[in-house]
Parts: sequence; C-alpha cells; structure tokens
Amino acid sequence: MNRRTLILDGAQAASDVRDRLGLDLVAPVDPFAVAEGLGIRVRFLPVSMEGFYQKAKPPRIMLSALRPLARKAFTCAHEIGHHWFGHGSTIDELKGDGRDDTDIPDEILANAFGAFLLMPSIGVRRAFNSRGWKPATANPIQVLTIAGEFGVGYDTLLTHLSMTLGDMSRNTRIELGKWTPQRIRKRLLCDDEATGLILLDHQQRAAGVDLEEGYALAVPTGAAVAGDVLTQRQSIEGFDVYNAVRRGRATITTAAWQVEARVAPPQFIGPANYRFLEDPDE
Amino acid sequence: MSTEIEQRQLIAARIREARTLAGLSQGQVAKMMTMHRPTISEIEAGNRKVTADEISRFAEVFDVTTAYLLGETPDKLAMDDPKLQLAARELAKLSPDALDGLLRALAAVRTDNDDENKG
Repeated sequence: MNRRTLILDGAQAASDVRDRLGLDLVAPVDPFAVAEGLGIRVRFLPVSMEGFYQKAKPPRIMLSALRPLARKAFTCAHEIGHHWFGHGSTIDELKGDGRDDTDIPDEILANAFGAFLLMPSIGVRRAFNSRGWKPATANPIQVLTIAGEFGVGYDTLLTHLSMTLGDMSRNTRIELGKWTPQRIRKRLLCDDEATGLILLDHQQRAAGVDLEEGYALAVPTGAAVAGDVLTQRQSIEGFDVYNAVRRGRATITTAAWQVEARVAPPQFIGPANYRFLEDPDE
Repeated sequence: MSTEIEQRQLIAARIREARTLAGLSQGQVAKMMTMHRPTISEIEAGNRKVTADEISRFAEVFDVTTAYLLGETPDKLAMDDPKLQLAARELAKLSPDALDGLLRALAAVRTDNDDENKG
C-alpha cells in the first residue's frame, strides 16, 4: 500500500472515530477525552520517549510527561490510531518535530490518524476562512492562533498544511518555519517568561483549552474569567493575557463562546484524568 | 513481629510509590477516600495498619493492582512478562532509564489478567 493510500485510510478512520463519539468534523477535539470515550486509559510517565500503546484489557496509552503539551496531545492521538487499527503494543521512541519521516505502514497510518483527528480538513480550512486568513499568505501569529485552537504545535500545523493538505507552498512553510513559538511569544508579550502561549480570539471554536502552570493565555479584551487558576498578566492589542498559576479549571466567557481552561502541573505524572484535579495541599 | 512491621513498611512504600505515580498529593487522596490527611501520612509512614477494604480503595484510586500494593508482585516487570506484550525489538527503542520507568509503571497498573479482576 502506498503512502497516499495509508494517509487517506488514516484520515477516514479519524472521521469514523469522530462519528462514533458524536463529534462533528469541524470543531477541535480533546484527544484525551477521545481516548476515554474509546475505553483507553492514558497515563503520563517521567520517561524519555514519545509514547507507548499497550494492547490489553483495558487498553492503555502511556505518554512521556517530559514532552511539550502539544506534543503529548499529538502522541495521544497517534497512539489512539494504533488502537483503532488494531495494531499490537508498540513503543514510539523520542522524535524530533518531523513526524513524516517513517516508512513503516502502521506508523504512517497512526500519524495520519492523529493529524486528521486533531486537524480535520474542514475544521482547519474553516478556521482560516472564518478569520479572512489564508494558509498561503498566513503570518506566524495566525498560524500560532490556529495551532492553539486545535491543541497542536506550531510546526505540526505547518507540516499538516503544507505536506498533507497541500494548502501551503513549500516556500511559505520554510519561511514560517523560521519562526518558533518562543520567538512569536516574545514578540507579542515582550518578555520570555511564559513557557507557552495560547491565543483564543473571537472566532475560535474549541470548547476547552489545556494549559500547564507557567503558560500564558490570551483571551479577547473584556472576556469574563471565573476561577483562580488564571491571574491577569497584561493587556496587548485586542487581548487580555492571563498566567496559568495553579492546577485546576477556569471558565472564560465572551459574547461568542464559553471555554473551559484546564491547568495541569508542569510535566504532570499520573493518569490523565487527574491532571486538572485541584489540590487542597496547595 | 518484625515480619509484620516489615510487611507494613513494604505496603506503606508501595502506597507512597503508587500515589506518586498517580500524580496525587496526600490531601487529594484523603479527599477522594474521605479520610483525614494525617491518616494518609500515617499510613505512608508505616505507622498505621491498612485494612483489606482500604487496600482495595487505594488500588481503585491509583489504578493499580492490590497485589502490587501488598508487595506480592515485583515493583518492576520482567522483560519476558506476558503482560508486557512487546517484542524485544520494541524494547530496544528505549534507553535503559526509560525502559526501567516503563517496566515499573507496568508492574503496578491493572489489566484484566490480574487476580482481583477475575470473576
């Protein structure tokens, strides 16, 4: 089977999983909730790898707690792919950001599944269109905004747009690839203190956003924030910026949407469903 | 007598290890098990006996086997343990430290093959 066929099979399977769980093909999804919906238990371990899928009863996914937040989400989606396709137990060793370098059919399938589960074609194209943006002419802040909406890394979205969807030229991808999330963050916030930045604008459609303590979250100016896990940091053009300071949950409300912001400790170790549990010891 | 104390210390150490692997503070566990926080502290110090019912509840909260908490199974899975279901070529992908961490986690977590889940 050639690579293109495997990618199409992965995309179809991602769509089937969304159907199974009653999710549409547009909105961002939480891969940890998808795993739970399929009866898979997810745990974070202080282990240097990407992830481990254990074909067992119950099936399990173990992820490295040491990897960046968006990478953990992508690896979770990738491991769900192994489960959905009935693959055997497998270890995904530590990788760089390039995910498309494998020639192993099961890995191509799981990668395509993970990418389309998190970044469905219709949803990603709608995200650009609804803002009047185009992948072909996008700037780094626009890419970071949409990557944050879908809970994926900046480079992961660039790769998906250019190599899988074919919506971005190779040259544009190379130019945008010269920017890093850290550099964009520094440009927007004028300092280097936050470990991550998620921008939620008026057009975003995620129902929830995952953060780690130390992350900054930008929400539209005047959005109502309920919950002491976020504290106000600064205002920038069009946005109020908050720091995620404590494990737990907060609710953000604008005229257009309501989002649950969920904050985990950095490099959290334990079952995924415990990572936002408020701690009476704090 | 000393055996009983050693056994209690072993259980205490396993509960502490399982709690850490579950990412929970003593306060969080106390709340989930409707216990007082000092009780968890005493249990983890080996100063208080744990009932069979409490062991079951700890196992549920930590998603581990009761056999693991009781010290009846090793704290690290052997490379050829059928529970692992991994070929040697898969294991070879990991560094020794990473492999050690994975084998320790897998020794603790439940599967349907474990004793308490049968029948």
